[in-house]
Amino acid sequence: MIQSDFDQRLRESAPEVEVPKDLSLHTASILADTQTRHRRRRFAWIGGALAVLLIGGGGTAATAATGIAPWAPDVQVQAPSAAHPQCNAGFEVSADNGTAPSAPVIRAARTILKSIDLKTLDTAPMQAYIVQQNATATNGTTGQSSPVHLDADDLKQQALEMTVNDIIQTRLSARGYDPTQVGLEATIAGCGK
Amino acid sequence: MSRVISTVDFNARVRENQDDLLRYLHRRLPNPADAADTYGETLLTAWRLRSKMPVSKEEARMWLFTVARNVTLNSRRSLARRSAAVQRLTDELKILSGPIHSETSEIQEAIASLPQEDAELVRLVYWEGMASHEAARVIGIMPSTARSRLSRARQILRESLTTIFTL
Repeated sequence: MIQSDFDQRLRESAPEVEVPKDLSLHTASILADTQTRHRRRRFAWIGGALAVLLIGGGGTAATAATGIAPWAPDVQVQAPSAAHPQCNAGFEVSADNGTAPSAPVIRAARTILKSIDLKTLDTAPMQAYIVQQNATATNGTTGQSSPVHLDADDLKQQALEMTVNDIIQTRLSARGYDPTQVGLEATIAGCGK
Repeated sequence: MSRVISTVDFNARVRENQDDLLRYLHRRLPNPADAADTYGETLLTAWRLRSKMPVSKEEARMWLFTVARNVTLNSRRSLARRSAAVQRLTDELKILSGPIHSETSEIQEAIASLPQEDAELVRLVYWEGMASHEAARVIGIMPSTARSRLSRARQILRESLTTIFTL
């Protein structure tokens, strides 16, 4: 038998495996499960033009709209809208998976968060990603197609949060930390919700 | 500091290679549930290790296969960790999984009888369509070593499959 025939027989011995036509949807769903595990959101942000302005660093205390609980996220941004000009949003690093709040990885994450320039952060790639993901979203229970539509302001806000989270996670990984020990929470105050 | 791939680019590299990765896993783990589980575990592991994913598309592809191979070798899968998303893929793979053709089973067994790394080298080259230097990267050996092992493996297969290959 000549070599080319021999090679062909070996190639044809590969078990026949049919890949589902909608593997992209499965992949997107698995990745979304994986990547959103540490993107907890206590509240949805309020809509409105996102003229992001960094107004405070770590340790700055503000009072939530209710006036009951002190509100002290690690960083705050103004996210005003016509209806809620005093709307503020904050990001806060949290300890996940039994990690001590004082652990080095948490301190490192908080340092990274505070170093991010929210005024100049490019969220366009994440917005495009969210749009693509939402267009191919499926119902988590039935698996049926269930596209999600966000208005422009919600899209910008979600992209901002995910971009910030992405930066923290990737920089922690690059520094040798386990990013699964860290969560990011977005909170709001004065936004009417 | 080394450049870390973004989430958007990470997801793009996964999507570009998803079909080949699933085929790779399913050929080594014929049980559809195992293949789907390992596919999900591969994506999770790749995500956790994404700071090590090369920026180059070609190198990222080889890196993903390396992750898949390591997950397959070290897999300690647990049904408790199977997400709803992975379960849906499992269900679909059950439908699509076909019978193994008997005429190829002898060749598959001959490949399986090779030393483990040599068998994987043959599968990567002939089943997954990789060049020998790409397969070497996935296994973690020198390209020259891969070429010599491949040559030796071919010879062994020719001898052990004389009956089939003289038909």
